[in-house]
Amino acid sequence: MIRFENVGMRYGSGPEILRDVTFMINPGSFHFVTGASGAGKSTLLKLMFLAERPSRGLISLFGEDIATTPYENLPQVRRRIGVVYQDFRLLDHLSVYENVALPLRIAGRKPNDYRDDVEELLIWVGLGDRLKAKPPTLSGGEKQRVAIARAVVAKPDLLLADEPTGNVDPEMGLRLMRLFSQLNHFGTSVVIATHDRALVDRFEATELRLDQGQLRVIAGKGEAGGTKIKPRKEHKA
Amino acid sequence: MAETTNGGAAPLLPTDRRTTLPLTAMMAVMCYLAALTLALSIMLSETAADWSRGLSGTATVQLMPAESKVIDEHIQKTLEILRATPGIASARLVSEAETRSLLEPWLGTLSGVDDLPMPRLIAIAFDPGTVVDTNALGERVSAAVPGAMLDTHQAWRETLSGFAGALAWFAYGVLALIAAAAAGAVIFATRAGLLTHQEIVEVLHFVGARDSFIASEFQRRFLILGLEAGVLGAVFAAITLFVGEIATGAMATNTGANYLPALSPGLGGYLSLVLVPAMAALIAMLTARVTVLAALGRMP
Repeated sequence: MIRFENVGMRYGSGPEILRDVTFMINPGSFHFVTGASGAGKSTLLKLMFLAERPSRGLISLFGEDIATTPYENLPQVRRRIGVVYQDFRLLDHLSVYENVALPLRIAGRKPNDYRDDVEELLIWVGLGDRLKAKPPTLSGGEKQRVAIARAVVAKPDLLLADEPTGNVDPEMGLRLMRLFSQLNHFGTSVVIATHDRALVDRFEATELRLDQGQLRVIAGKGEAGGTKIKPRKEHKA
Repeated sequence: MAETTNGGAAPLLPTDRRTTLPLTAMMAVMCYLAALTLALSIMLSETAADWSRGLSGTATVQLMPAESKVIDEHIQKTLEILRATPGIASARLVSEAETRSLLEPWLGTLSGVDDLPMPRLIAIAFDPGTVVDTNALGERVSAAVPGAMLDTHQAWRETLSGFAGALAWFAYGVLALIAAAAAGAVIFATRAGLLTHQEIVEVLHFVGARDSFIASEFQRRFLILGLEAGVLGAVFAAITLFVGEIATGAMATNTGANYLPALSPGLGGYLSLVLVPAMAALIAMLTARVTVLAALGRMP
């Protein structure tokens, strides 16, 4: 589904942030992207949701080489990817409901067609009573859940989350991980960038470890190239 | 208990009248100037056309002042020639009193004016639809009567036509400058809007919105802004023109300057003001669209 081959990335004429990055993400798999702060995790995610273009190398998304994909086809590719930003990036002037419905509205669906789905999803993430609330009035955890709901509402093939548990307490972090796990079981490939070692150790998933711009793939206990996420026995979720 | 939503589509860009008000006011002033330019150019073109139409079916024979007996002969001879010429509907001797009244606006009513030697004028009206060889007629009259001159008002008509044409081009130039200034203002405002709402634009872009979808959010806003500014400008211009029409009419009546044309844009002039909001909205909308698409084209 996603293939990186010898990808290099530098900003302007600065040093390479990523060097010769090669990996593959299969449909329905679960990956962690790990590394110290500044290791290039966010840059790698940006390359995956087409917010940046690589300086060199090949990136293939859903079977299409992005270097040769026509510009007018890129929105269609982006609609297959849900992104949870580290800083949430919610639209403050829109309600929780409108924020979550945004991808469906952009995809051209009618409000009457998606209203039930959006409300159901918000109830599922525990925000059924905050549909009309504006993001500035929400807590960090609530914002995080809205951002996640927006990322998954259109049932993307790939979910990318940048430090999704970074702004919440450990209990909320676990709840969110359970949410990602459920999505993964529904068939969505999940890639989570985190520097939380404990979180990674708690789940059996393939790890894409970044160190000084170079990437090492550390297979989980399941099949190589990504596994369905499964919490370890001592941490039953 | 879960809240419910009405599902209505909220604008994706926040609306804040405080930020758009200065631009609306500036655009309204531009629209006001454009509306006045448009109406004035129409008004002056029509006045020039009226003058030209009034002169086109007529001509004048001017006879040099001479002794009474001689001038009577000249008048008689000239009238005979004119009345015998096919295509001339009438040839009428303009009385001395009429001639003096024509000069009155320039010479006033001084007592010595009556003693000045006055040329005699013969007013000619041509048959509509017939073509008279005025060059040959002028030569015949000049040959028969020494010092007689046929004036077809050609020079006047050419001057008026040139004046009207120059005015029209001047008006087009002013309108083009105003349109360019308005487009420039919209470009700056759109860029400022893109910067202000950069995060929203990025979210929309990365959620999979097409550039045309994002541009439509901006162009809708500027369409409304242009329409509001255009209506304001056109309404104030209409009020100005109406007040001007009444004021110049009253001034002409009070000063007795009836030879001056009435400064009225007429129904056509007032109706042309409708074009201003339409053009303002179109210019604002298209400029915003092009600016946003150009900016989005630079995104990854």
